[in-house]
Amino acid sequence: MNILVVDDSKAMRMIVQRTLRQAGFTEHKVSEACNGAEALAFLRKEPCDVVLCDWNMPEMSGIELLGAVKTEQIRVQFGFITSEGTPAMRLQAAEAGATFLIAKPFTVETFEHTLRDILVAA
Amino acid sequence: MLLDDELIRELTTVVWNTVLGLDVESTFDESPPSMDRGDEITTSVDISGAWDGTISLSFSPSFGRRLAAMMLDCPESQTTAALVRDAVGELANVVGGNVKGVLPGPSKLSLPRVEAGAAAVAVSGLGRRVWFDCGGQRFSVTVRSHPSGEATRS
Repeated sequence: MNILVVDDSKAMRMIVQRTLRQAGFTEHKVSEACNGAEALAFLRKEPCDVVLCDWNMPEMSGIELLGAVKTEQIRVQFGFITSEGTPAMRLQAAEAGATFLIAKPFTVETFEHTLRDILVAA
Repeated sequence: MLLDDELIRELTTVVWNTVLGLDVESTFDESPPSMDRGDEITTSVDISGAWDGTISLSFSPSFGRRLAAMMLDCPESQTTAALVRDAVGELANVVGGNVKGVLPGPSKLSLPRVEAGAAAVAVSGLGRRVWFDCGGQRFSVTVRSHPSGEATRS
């Protein structure tokens, strides 16, 4: 599978990729984008199966990116990895079409549990 | 729910344990000898909305480099100033996001910023500063309510 990790923090992008490996998801191609606008440009031209996206970013936020993905009918599973995991934000994410929301700080077990069906299915 | 020192300790400890794999202990020593005063870096995020305030993390530049190296999985010698700002800013983002989650909403979380110097001293009654020890390195977490916002619990 092709996975796109979107976060304005290079450190967090590395932590997400490290956690994916620690969770056993080692067979996938992982690409990076540092904000929603860069991610949207990537998604318009590159095949991608799953987006793991921060919420709060400069240029274009994660929820704005998800809106653009839906508007442009880009077929991809979209999930948030964000420091804000309140019920209200989980509801907003779900209503916008997100498949899941992982709250920071996360554990390897959270990745295993949340992403198992998504990353193994395809 | 309003913030008290214990909740700040709990949230910070979880972030340090989970993101960095480091144990921390809260300390009541407010004059840490291992941190050179005037030589600190502070990373902050603002919360605005139903609660208005700022969450700041302050530590020595050397501890900042160590944290960045751990997050980036590289030797400290490879951590540039930009990478340190990126990494410690993300720590503020994670702590701030979790603080936001226990405060009244709705509210918005700002992007993190990193500045030289210590966090502004909390105005009496409107803020709290909690000190931590992490393997001999001290750092602080300051939660400062803006005057128009709801004050933290004393």
